[in-house]
Amino acid sequence: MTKKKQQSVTLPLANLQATKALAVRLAKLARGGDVFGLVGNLGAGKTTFTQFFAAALGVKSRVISPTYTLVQFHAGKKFTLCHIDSYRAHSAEEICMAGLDDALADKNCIVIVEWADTIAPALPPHTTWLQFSRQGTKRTVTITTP
Amino acid sequence: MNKRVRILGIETSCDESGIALLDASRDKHGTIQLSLQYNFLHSQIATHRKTGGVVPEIAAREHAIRLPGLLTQLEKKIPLSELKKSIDAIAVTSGPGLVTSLVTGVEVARTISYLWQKPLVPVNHLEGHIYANLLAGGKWPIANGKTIRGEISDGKLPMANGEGEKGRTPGDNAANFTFPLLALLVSGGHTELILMKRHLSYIVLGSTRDDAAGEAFDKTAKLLGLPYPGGPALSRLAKQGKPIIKLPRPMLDKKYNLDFSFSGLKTAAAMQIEKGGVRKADMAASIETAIVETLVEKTCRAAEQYLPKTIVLAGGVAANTKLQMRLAEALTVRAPKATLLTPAIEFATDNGAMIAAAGAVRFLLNKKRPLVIDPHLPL
Repeated sequence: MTKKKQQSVTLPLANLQATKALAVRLAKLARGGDVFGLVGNLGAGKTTFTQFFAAALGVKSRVISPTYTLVQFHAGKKFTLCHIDSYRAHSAEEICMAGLDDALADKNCIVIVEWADTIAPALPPHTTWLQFSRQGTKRTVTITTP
Repeated sequence: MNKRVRILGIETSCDESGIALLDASRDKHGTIQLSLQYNFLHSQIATHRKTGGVVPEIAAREHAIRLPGLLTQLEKKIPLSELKKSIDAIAVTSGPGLVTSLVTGVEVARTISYLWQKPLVPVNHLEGHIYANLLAGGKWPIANGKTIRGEISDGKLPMANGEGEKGRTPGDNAANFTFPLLALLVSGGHTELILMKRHLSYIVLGSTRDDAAGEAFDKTAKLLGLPYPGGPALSRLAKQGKPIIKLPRPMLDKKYNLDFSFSGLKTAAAMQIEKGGVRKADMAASIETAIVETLVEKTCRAAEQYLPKTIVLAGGVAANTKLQMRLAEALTVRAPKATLLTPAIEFATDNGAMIAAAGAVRFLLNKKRPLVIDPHLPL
């Protein structure tokens, strides 16, 4: 069996508008069952991206950092957005207990995970990875699709 | 007619297991008086320090181990038979919080309720924080004779690893809420400005758009390489520094908007730390000043708009000395007619007494709610 080669592309994020444009485009392509894994240091722009992404999905409720609640569900226009934050998690099991498994099984749910690298084993192979980096004020994102 | 009740309070929403026994009365004028009898707390800070944060599964297991122990301690003070006879209701946190932690406390409460045939009073953890201000604290006068209830903390967490007993004598609990009341609720997961026109009625005037204030403290502390819990560690370090680094005060430009935003501050701090050349203590002082000034300014604006008679500080971040002092100073000028209440240090962070306090008010006023465990329970 040949392993399908992952595709990777790095884009500059010049400003907030660029982050928004990316989030809107990805949200338009997203379907139920999709999983987005966000990676990046504190202040890299993960929550900001998620807020734009949620707005583009038609989420009306406020999307805040779920660091202390681990998981937050938001009703969008067509899909439910499951917003997970693994910042405080130390194992994949923990996040599964908190609701990841249910969200992954729900075909009407789009899952977005901040600090996804900490729970990588729990995420399915079709996860789209977004690595946010910041050097001074310059930001880039590396998108890896399965 | 005077009504007297005795409430058992149970709190397990996050990483503190708390049990308290509280007497409450309501006189013919409707004034509610609380008198805390016993308060036992087990904090898991030492456990979670190893992992740099609360681990939900470990937290839930710890609650299951510690709660019976705390109940045994209470039993040593009051025999079980007497406890069973004298308790009128059991108050328990039903949310918001970590679901696994909440379940542990609720199951213990349910069991006692079933065995002793006593009613359950579900309490919102956030209202518990607000009603912590009805529990006794010290008094300290500030300029122009206004009295503030509460004790200035030294930045240390109370009873960091203790299972302390706080017996209070009746009569030192004269604090009362006069409405309208404005509450600034600040903790690891919450930053909210709340207006209360009467007991147990909450209007959220503003809240955070991204990170909570306590989260901002904890995450910037992590950027500075400080140990968990980051907030108190950052405050201690801040005392040795000067707030000389310019950091943003988000959302202060919008005059009538009472929302908060702290994620930009976190990024700005990260950039400054990367650039280097700043003393850690100065950075800590600058971060603390930025967070405190934002909280104080928004609270003052809310006070000017809604003219509350009482202003209360609530939640774990209420233990921050600088926040208490700056708020007191600012309100003396901008809301001189209001009384500011701050919780006693041991009741600022999570505890069973505050749940018993809010539960007592709910029980006395007959404001019952169905018991549903909800990790995202709104006020």
